[in-house]
Amino acid sequence: MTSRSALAAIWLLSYLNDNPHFDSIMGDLEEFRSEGRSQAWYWRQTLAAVASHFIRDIWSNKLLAFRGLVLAWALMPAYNLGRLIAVKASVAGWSSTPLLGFSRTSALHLFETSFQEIPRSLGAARNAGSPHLLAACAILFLIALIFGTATSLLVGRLHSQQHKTIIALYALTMLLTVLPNAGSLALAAYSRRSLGTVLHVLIYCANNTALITGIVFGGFLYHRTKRSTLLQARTL
Amino acid sequence: MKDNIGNFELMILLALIRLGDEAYGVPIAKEIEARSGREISVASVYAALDRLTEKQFVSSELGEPTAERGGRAKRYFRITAKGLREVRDTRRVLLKFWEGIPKLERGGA
Repeated sequence: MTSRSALAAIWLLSYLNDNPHFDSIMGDLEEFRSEGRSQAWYWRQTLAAVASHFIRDIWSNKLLAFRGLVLAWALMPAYNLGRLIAVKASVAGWSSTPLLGFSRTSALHLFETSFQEIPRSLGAARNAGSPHLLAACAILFLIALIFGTATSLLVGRLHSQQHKTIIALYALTMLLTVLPNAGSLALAAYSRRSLGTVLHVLIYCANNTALITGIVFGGFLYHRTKRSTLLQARTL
Repeated sequence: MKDNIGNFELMILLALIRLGDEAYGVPIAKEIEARSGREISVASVYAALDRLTEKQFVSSELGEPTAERGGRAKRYFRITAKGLREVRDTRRVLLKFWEGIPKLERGGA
């Protein structure tokens, strides 16, 4: 096994470090590896171990996992409202009052509205040759990254013991929500073959990649902070 | 908690009986792989051993760390008297179920 691949598998296996058998599993896999088991075998074992630990952890903390997801997803309307305001304002060059354009939009409709209205605003800006289009996209991605990181940190802080599992579950639910939309947008882009629809898919995918990256980054940040706090407490 | 054991847990208990004092993750997984002909996930062996420990069918103790395991210790497992009784009971019940099903033993449907 190449050292990089081994390191990646070992890094993935570190997710199990709160498993009471973590040392035994790592030792057994190392012993099997030294006996000549293949790289593919090691990766199958790694993925099986991580998946079974993830599922068992969720199952034994069902209510906490549910609470974490509800909390993270409950903040989505605020996120959608924020990026809607930011896009409208940046497309208009921050010269108009962005809230006036969608004052009738209710919080409940924000998922749908942001899905349709943001591309519509960006499309209109592109057609009008707005010089702020790239800035609007950059702001969108930045907001997604910051929101993902912030919600991940919040979920981690409120679920300190199970933060890895609940943050991973949050990222997974986000991915599962995004994939069907991305698929249908890609199909629409393929059938229409227009630059607008292609751009729509690209921006949607990039935006949600930024969001999921933010969630994962927030998870690492929280985990790192927690670990260094624990180490400091131990040395004291 | 229910004391019933599943197929995989029974395989692990039988592997523990066969291996005696040398029963830790690697030989247990190898034993099951060799006899079942299937690849076994090491993590699933420990998950099953956890359940068996909760049911008090299995006890364990930590061995010495070794270099071939990256300095990590082996955890040795041993079947308890309660576990042994459960294996005997399961065997008796399964044998009763097998009685009167001769076609399967000859490879028929």
